[in-house]
Amino acid sequence: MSGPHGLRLRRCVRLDFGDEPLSGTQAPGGEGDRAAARTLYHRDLLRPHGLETGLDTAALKTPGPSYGEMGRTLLEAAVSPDEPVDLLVLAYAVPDLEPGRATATYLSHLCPGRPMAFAISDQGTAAAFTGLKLIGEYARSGDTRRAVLLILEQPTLPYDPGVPVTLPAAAAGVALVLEAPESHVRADADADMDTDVDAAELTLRLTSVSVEPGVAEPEPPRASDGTSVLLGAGFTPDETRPYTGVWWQLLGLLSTRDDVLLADFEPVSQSVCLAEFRART
Amino acid sequence: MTAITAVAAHLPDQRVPIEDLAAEFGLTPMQARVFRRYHKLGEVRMDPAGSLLDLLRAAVSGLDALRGQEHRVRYVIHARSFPVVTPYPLDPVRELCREFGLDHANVLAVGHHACATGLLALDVAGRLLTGDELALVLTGEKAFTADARTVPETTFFGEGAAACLVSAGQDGDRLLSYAVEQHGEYDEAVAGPADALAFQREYPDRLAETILAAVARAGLALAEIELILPHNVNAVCWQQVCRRLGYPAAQVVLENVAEYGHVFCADNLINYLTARRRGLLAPGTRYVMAAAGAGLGATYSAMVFAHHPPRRERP
Repeated sequence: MSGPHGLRLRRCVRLDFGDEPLSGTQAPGGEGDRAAARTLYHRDLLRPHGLETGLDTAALKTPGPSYGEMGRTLLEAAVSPDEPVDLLVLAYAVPDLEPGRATATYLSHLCPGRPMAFAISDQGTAAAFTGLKLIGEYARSGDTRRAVLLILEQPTLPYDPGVPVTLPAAAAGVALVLEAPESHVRADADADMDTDVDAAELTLRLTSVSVEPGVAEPEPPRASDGTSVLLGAGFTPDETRPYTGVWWQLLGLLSTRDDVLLADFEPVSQSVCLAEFRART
Repeated sequence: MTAITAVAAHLPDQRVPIEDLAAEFGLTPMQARVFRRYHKLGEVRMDPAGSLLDLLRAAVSGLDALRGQEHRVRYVIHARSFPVVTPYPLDPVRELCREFGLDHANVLAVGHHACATGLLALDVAGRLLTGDELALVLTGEKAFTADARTVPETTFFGEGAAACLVSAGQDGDRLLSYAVEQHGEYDEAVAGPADALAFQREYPDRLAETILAAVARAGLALAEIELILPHNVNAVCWQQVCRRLGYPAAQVVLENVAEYGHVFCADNLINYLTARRRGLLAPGTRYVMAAAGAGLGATYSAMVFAHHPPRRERP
């Protein structure tokens, strides 16, 4: 898997979210109705698997921020109103506590450009890498000039699944804004951006993305002269941000002139995930 | 070039008349009659004792073209109407892959286009593939909760599944274009009753516009489209869409609405098999697959294909 058509990583934003729901998205029917709907959905979801007795209804009554709220906040921080986006990809592993919600579609109408938006899941840490790969492919075909990749995680599973599960310590998210080489970006495109977030302007060019399953004993890649390596939770345990951690670190490396290799290991499918960015010269 | 190279489907044996479902949801006999007479919904299929894995397994078992080609399958993609259909981290698709010798494939789900997600998965699959790789796209879900059993005044969901092999080559039905229109303002976190009415009013127009957009992107005129393979939400919806388009309703494969109801994201592929069986697809036939996903946000999607029987099927 390679050849993301020289996409530039234009901007990176990362945010930690608290436990409280964010303001601004109260359902017209009231939170009581939403809590009842969440509970019914989860009860029906668990029953065929004999897991309904482990349902934590209290967690469903007072959930933390939903992926919709987290995504909205990240978009507001990452995308200027005069930067229309053509594609929005939402990647996550742990399901949202609004289980029936088409969150990517919801986020589409909040994002400048009303982009085509969809979600990738059920791939653990590899979902974000697949999302990045797909953004590259849409750019290659000319269908996308600017894209947003949202990588989200939330810490609550309102039931005991009966098997080991990795959950993050808190809700967190990372937004990457990527642009095709021919995009015309205003020089002052960031003039209106909210500066009260952990964000940075980047000069990195995506050169390859790969997800290779079936690697039983993976070796983490090592840094070399001119290349910094960021390892995800699959290589170096990260109990705080198991699904966003490798992307979270990306922001910390932006002051370097090094190329950057992000590497993670998805244990269920034994997939080695790599994304390589070269410093623009 | 994205191409469909083989399709198989499974519908469970148990038939449930919509009158039974209507009674279960507290509808009056008159409301049930409206579903049968006007929406043309008759019955749905159910497998009460079966799991999602059982549904998907049955569909993949019928996919003869997969035999001997397992090593070429690079991606297995589950397209879902509902984002969450099993308790996390249980993963029936991964289990299915083990059973069918597909452990080496990348397994993932795509979603958030509701019942239009099946078309999204075809597009995503084609874009991910290179060379002679294949993707296995899976559609189909369990009607496990009220939201997954009925859309009030609109449809009843039936259980079933479809499996589809996608290639990046010239062999099979070629994807000529794909158009998507999304309306997140109808998400229930922000939408009110007035929005619900607006959505109902706009639905046929938006779906018709999306079909026209896909046809235009394919460089065709609507008159060159010989067939529409719809989602099975109900017949009234498609009659309205056809009026907007000026397109003959007789060229929309609607017969499965009465027999199967709305089988989540699998409708288009099930109707594809019906069209093949009825001899409606000749080499070169241009047809549309179209679907709308609604409920929590709205997505309208349409694809234009040109039918080319895979090499192994040609005389």
